[in-house]
Amino acid sequence: MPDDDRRREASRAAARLQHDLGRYIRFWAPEEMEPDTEALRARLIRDVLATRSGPEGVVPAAAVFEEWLAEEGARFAGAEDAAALERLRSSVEKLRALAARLPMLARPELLELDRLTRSIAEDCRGLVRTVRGASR
Amino acid sequence: MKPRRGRPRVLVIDDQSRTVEALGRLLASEAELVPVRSGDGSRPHARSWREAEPLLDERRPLDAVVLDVRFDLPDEELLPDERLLGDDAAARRRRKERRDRQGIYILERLRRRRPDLPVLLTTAYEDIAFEEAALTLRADSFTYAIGEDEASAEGVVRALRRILEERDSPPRTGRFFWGSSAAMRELRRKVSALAPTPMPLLITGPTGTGKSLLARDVVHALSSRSGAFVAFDCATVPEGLLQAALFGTLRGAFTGAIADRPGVFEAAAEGTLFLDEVENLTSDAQKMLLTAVNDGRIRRLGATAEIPHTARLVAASNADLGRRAKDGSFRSDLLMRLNPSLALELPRLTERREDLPELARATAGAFFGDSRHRRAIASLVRASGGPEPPLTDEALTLALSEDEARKTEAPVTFVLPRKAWTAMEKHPWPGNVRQFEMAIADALAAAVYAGGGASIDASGRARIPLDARLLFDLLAGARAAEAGAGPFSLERPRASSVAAYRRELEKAAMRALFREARGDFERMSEAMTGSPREARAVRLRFNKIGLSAREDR
Repeated sequence: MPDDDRRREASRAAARLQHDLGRYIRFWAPEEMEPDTEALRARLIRDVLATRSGPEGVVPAAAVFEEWLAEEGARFAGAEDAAALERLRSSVEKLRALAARLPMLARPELLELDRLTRSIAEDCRGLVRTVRGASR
Repeated sequence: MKPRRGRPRVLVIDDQSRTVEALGRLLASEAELVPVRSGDGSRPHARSWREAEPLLDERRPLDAVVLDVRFDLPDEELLPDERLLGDDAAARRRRKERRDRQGIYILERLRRRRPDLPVLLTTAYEDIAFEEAALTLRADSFTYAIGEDEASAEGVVRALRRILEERDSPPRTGRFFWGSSAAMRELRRKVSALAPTPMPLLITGPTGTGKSLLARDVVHALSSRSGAFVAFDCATVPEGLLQAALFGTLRGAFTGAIADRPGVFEAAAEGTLFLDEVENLTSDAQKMLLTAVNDGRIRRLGATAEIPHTARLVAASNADLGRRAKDGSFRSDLLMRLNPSLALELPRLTERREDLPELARATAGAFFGDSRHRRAIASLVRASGGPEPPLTDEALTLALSEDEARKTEAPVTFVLPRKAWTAMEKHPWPGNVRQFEMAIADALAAAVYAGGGASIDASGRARIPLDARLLFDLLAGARAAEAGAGPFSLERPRASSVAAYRRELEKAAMRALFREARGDFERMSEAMTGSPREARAVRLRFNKIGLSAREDR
């Protein structure tokens, strides 16, 4: 595949991740952080454990990422892309570990999980920008 | 612009349910989400074009569509051809591409059926995988995308609210006419964001586009400032008096200054000071204005101490201030303080021709709103053998063709002949909105006060034709004035002395030229001297002999 086509495919793949994960992982986040811990937990359950919700049921954020990575990961071989992807992979790993105990997490851990969702959303958008920048 | 009519109906087209959940929860009773009936019952969103399409034909029309871009659907539900794709590598690639741009395909189909239906894409333009599609979408003035920072339930709801508010926005704010063109909707958004701030603003646009109305009826009104709106026309005050008029004087500052007198800055305390035709300020006045804007302080003529001022400055110009700054005739530092990058630019009427029908009706509405005209219309209908017409807003209407008139049920319809309207649509309107409004108002006035009466149909409805020939003459007169040529007739003055006769003659000539030039002093100057450069002198003279740009239209 010529280089231009490869970059275009990578750009579309990054946009797909931004759409499926980056946009939805903080979909219910309010502008002001919830002062109530249970409200924060309920929102994170919706955003992290039911990131996609369609007729086939719900898909958690980590699974959305893994499915995407298995299908598209190989497109991101450039140094900058690889670094951006590695950041994402690392954040998703931490998110998965915390999400597994979501119903029992104390507020500091919930806040850490919230921070991870923000970081993942930003990294998804960052990946789109990195790939688009390189394809111009 | 459509009138307000109950709860707006919103159709959500999305394969996922999160957006519709958000709208259901956060919009609550503000909008009705159009339900979709399918084999498994009823859902508040359509999952595909196949489900959405029949809803476009429902009796109750839609007010907005919320549309996702990426759809995970089976092949047979995917546009463009809803067919199975197979399972080889090429088919998989094609499937992926169709899913990624499904929203764009849906939008294309939607636009064929409803070109002006507002559509909110639940993604940012920057996130659309196909850049060429994103560029096309940006050019479609009825398609909106959410901001990059609005990718949340609240963000989507906020974006939809903005669209629905726009749909319900009245065509006029005060006397300022908006219309529905993309340029004016964009301007409306910009004004809503900037008007409440205290920052100085610049309004630009050719003559007759409504700069002073925008400043007074919109910017000042939306600013919620407690002080007055004070307009100051920089072109009409002689140079020697500019400083005193702007900043005020102390008693004894010059011969004749017998008392302290505040300037317009003080008159606009806590309010808005509107400086019209700001390019006419002398270099000294520009310097003082810059100090006033920079330091928030002014000094009255003759005073040693400065005093703070609290007026918000809004300046307007129909000149290219950027070019003036380059050639040194306008201070570039003053221009920068007027935030030129945020300037509110009013387009020429010819750049928003789609607004003409709405503007014609709004102008007619304003004409019908005048109780003197209403009484005259009622008397005209009675004199033509018709019943006493109700004089409500809905009872009086303007039709832009004979066909349209036949369809209207209003008790009194003024009928603009199709050929006259076609000519108006093509006219260059150098005097912009003001010139167009004057043409419509003149044609209506002629029909009411000097027309051939009304025809009354079997149901008692009155049809009053507007004189096409008069409209053609008005347009031709405007063209002649534009060229600075053509016939020039005056009302014969009467006076008690030769000197008074000479004065009245000048007034009549100025008034006739003013009307011919549709209130544009540059055109008056052109008609009088062959050059627009004397516009300032013409305006000064116009005011000096006791004429008023507002009253003598």
